[in-house]
Amino acid sequence: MTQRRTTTRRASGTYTVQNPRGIPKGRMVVKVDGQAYQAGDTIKVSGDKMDLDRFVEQGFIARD
Amino acid sequence: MVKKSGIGQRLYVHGFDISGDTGQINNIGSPIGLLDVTSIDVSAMERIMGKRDAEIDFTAFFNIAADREHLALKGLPLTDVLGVVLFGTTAGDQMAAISAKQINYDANRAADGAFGFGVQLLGSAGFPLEYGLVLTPKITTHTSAADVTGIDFGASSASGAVGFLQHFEDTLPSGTIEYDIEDSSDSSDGDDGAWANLIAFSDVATPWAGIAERAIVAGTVNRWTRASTNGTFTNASFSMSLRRRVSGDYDAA
Repeated sequence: MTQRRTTTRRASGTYTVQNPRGIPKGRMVVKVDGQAYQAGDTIKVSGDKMDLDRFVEQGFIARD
Repeated sequence: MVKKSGIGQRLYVHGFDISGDTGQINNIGSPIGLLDVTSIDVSAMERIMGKRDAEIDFTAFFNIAADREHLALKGLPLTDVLGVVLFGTTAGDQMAAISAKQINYDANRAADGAFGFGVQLLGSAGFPLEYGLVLTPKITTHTSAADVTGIDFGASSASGAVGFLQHFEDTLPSGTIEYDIEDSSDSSDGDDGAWANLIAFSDVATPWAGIAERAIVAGTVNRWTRASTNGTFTNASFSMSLRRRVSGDYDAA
């Protein structure tokens, strides 16, 4: 049986949420680990967490 | 893929579920005008595509109960209404949407005593009938902010998308509901992974009143999409659907 790829990989660090899609102020822009963040919020990730590289590439978050 | 019947469909018109009062959908159409461009040097017709249109035509049974067809349809609003037909009630099923003027509400009392109304929705917002996928099974109710398990489109797309929201009237809710459609490039099951807000519908600050909204977004849409409620509220009853715009669509961005 083929095992599907999981999202648990490296990503330690601190990120600031960007707003490339122009989501209205006060509204959720991204969700990481089920937690909602708005533009300007800080996401702190430690240990083995999600791989956020694609989120960075797409401009949703920026590594501090 | 199996062939499917029209059994078990739904019809929502601008925040009202009138499925239970609709006996027949007579037409779901997107007619396209043809322009005659036949020149004198050919011996058969030449035609090119003209304007597109949209229409949903249905017959409703008379029902004066709260939130049923008479309340939903008798007003003949001057503003556009958003109508959607769900061809199935499972997330991922097909649907059709129309932004339209409701142009009639015509009663017919037959000799045998049957009493029904003919209703026609005609496209009025500058775009044709739109086909997409249902993101929510039937009418979904959240008692607080929550996410519906996403559906896998198999690949990302690059031409934007159109989202459709139907928020249904309720006598109990309070708060402000933030309806969103989210997308993810790395989910494996529609729940895990990192998600971004793809389409943020307008805040629903009067959740006791039914409303509907069509919203568009340009650019990349990731492989997975899901419906989501955010904010602080009690009782959000809703349906959301999504049409991915693909290259070649009249409105691909």
